[in-house]
Amino acid sequence: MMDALLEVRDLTVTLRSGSGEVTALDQLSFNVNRGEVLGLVGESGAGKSLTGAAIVDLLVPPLKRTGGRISLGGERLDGLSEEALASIRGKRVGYIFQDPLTSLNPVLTVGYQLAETIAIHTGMDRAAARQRALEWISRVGISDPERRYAQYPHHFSGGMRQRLVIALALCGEPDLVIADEPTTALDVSVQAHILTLLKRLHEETGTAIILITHDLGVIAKMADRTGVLYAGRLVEIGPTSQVLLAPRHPYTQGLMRATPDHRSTTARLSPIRGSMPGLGRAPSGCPFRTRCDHAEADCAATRPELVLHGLSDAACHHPLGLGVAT
Amino acid sequence: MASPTTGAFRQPRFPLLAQLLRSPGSAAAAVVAIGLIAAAFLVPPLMAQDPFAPGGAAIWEAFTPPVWMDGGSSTYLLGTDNQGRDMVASMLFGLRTSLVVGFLAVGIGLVLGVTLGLVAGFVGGVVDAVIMRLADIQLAYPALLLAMIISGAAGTVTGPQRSVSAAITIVVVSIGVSFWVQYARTVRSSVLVERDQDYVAAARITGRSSVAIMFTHILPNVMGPVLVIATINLAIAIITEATLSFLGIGIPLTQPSLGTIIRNGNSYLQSGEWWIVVWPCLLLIVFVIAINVLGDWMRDALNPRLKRRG
Amino acid sequence: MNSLMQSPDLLVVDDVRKTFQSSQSWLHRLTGQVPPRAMALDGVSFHIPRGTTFGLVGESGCGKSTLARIIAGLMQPDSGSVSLLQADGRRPRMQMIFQDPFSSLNSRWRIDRIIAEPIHAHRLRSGKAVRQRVDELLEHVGLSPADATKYPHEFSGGQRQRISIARALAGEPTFLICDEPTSALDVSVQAQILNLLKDLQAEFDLTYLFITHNLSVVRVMAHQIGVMYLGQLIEVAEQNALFDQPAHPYAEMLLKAVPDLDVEARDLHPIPGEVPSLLALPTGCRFQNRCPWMQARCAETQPPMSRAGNSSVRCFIPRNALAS
Repeated sequence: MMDALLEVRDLTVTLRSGSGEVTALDQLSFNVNRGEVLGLVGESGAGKSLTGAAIVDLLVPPLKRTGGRISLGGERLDGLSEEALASIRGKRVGYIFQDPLTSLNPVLTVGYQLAETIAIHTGMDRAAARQRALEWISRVGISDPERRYAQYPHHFSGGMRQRLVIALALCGEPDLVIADEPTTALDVSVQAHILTLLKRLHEETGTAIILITHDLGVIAKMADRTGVLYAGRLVEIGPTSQVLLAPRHPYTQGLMRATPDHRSTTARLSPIRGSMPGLGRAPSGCPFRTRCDHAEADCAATRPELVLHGLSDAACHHPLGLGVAT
Repeated sequence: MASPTTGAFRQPRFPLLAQLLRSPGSAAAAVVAIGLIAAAFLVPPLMAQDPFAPGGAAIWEAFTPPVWMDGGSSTYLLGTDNQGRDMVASMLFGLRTSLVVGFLAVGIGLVLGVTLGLVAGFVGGVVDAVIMRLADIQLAYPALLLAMIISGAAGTVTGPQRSVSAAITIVVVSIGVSFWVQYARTVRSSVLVERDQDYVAAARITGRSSVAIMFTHILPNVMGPVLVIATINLAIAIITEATLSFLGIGIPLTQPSLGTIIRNGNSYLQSGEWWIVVWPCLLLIVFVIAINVLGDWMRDALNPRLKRRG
Repeated sequence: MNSLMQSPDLLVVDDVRKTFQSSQSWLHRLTGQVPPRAMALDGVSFHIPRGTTFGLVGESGCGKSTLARIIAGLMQPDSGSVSLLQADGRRPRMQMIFQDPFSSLNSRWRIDRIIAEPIHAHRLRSGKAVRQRVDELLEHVGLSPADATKYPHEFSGGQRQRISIARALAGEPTFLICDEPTSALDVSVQAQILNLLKDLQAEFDLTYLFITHNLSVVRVMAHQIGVMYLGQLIEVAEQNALFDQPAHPYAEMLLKAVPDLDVEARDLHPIPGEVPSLLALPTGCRFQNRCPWMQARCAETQPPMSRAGNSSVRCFIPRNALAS
């Protein structure tokens, strides 16, 4: 058994609207092991960003966590006061947001922002925090840290800003970093830089990462294990190679087939028919059944739970690829 | 943040109405505002006597206090004024005049401002610069002062003895003209945003003319904020009318408006007949508050940032 | 495919140049300084044979969207020409499909009015035939005639893109500019839209200019591909030639930088350095500061577009020449 750092059990998030309550995240359960990269992949509206935000309770009304247990290193996070959570965010759980533009305060120098964060999380005095901030600036691959320290965010390019955001998330030396679409706003060549940096820092510091993305290519290169989300539910989770190469859930398979790959000469892609149901509109039983080629009567009747099939867990009554295996 | 997929919630048939009912304060304001407007336009034509017509009032019943006071009469619930006119009837007649002035003034400001704003935003260049500098110049004058200047200037043309309809026209125009800048600025900034939207590019590629794009595509998309301003301007117009009339440079005393009624009643405040001035003041306050609450609610309800992706 | 490439050209873009003046600040005005001009497009030339797709790829700021707007006639080039040619004498018509499925449809218009706009504008049909045509188009793009009376906000992103496509088809175009038509969509929906575009091309003999930053998408869609870097077309090649044997170092490195679906080979290959500013372009080759194979002459003279293997490339030392 691996050493679980973060345990999430039955995490449920609801959205309260004028016309009632809808479930946005439906009983999510998964672990993040110490020092691993867990990829969370899904299409927009699947609930992947919500999962990240719910773990450290960054949800804003009308979204609300209405159920589930979350523990980090054995300590319960749910039910903690806002004050206690605030000290955990940043110090024990770092957060990298998608948009490097809005994650930095435009009116403060980047050095000040880094040093202040370090001082808060480590209790260092000003001089020591400044020294540490300079180290982090060069550690994330920005040259001339002394000069860069005194500059404002607008002096940096998009890729450089995202490096600073990563430094901000990691400088408190957290056990876990939640990276929400960290490269989506960036160009391909910059994306490769940022992912390389994340990988290197992950190896150096041993921090665990939850990498939230819609890009299966990023998952393939980065994640040790991968969870697939669909309509607010976790439909498959397992080792990345297993999930991508031998998917058990038809949705995972459909996603792989619909994704174009520049190495292949396919002239035609295989889309999944229809589109993901909107919030609160998932069909009964299996949420994917209306788009699934393998759906049968039982898929509408009962909701499939996550069950281990070989090496990965899938929430499907008719998992793929088992005819040969068993 | 993962935004909920578009169309996640079924759109009600009358989305604005449903939204209004969910906000009790705004719903109450709507009821008050619409109720008063309806009363002002529907009740006076039904009344047997126009209290402001010659012989329309019973002078011997002047200064009757409200019904609950000594000497009050159940015929005059809120009492009568110095001419024996029923306060309730007077106020309804007065509100009607004030509303007519308000609606016409807002209409003038709206047509003028929206057209100039559209042209400034869409054409740009020198035309834009000229229109917006004019707007800047006008903004340097408070609306009331501007209305007083226009009213005074018009007075030198018509002479001191102007007809009632001429007086009303002058009030309407002077208030209306003081409004156009707001509309023009709002429309212009919306046009600058909409002009660069892809649907406009699509229409251009299809070969639609600039005028067609301006009026069929852009205009409907910039009307939301305009309606909000128009609502709030209605309240401002009514206050401005009351102020001008109170100062004696608006509507003549022979024509009832909230302003003239308050001006008339003001003379009797010291001598104890407080009701002649207090009721119309209260009506003015209640109506203006109701309109402003409604306007605030509309601003939120029509906010394109809350709506567009929702 | 080869027979397609020999069909007559429908679009010819010849030496298009465009500069943007960065806005003059008060300081500039005070000191009488002229702000530098950003070279957004520099000598872009290519042509698209009828019935084929030309894919234009590049990272943000490379000029591909400016080029699209110039070809669409929404913007004038400083110099150079864009010509739409048609053999049969009819006036060729063009339409465009945009990236953002939200801003490309007028939210105050009903779907039938949106789709009918080009029909009315070009006087293609009148009276009841318009409504019939709208229904037909909705079915063509996989929607139902019942959708005609709805408003854009009632549709998902993918469905809105279908409506955009229906509107474009309503103008009965011969040439369609697709500017990142799927980059706002999820992969499962993206595949639907890409397949739809392919089917429509075959059915109506359409010619596409397909602009994207996604190399995997361009491989699926395009017969010919042009790669842009800092306002220049640096390589033009047929689909497989580009992916199998890229000639320009930037094209080669860009292909390697894309995270593919291979879970075994997990190394990432970033391109070293950063893109220089359009305001301060180097003399000589624009990729020189990031190119591992740079030589002295690359800094001195700008490489012209020249033939190398199956590609046209702006490079003195094309990569595919080394291999052969």
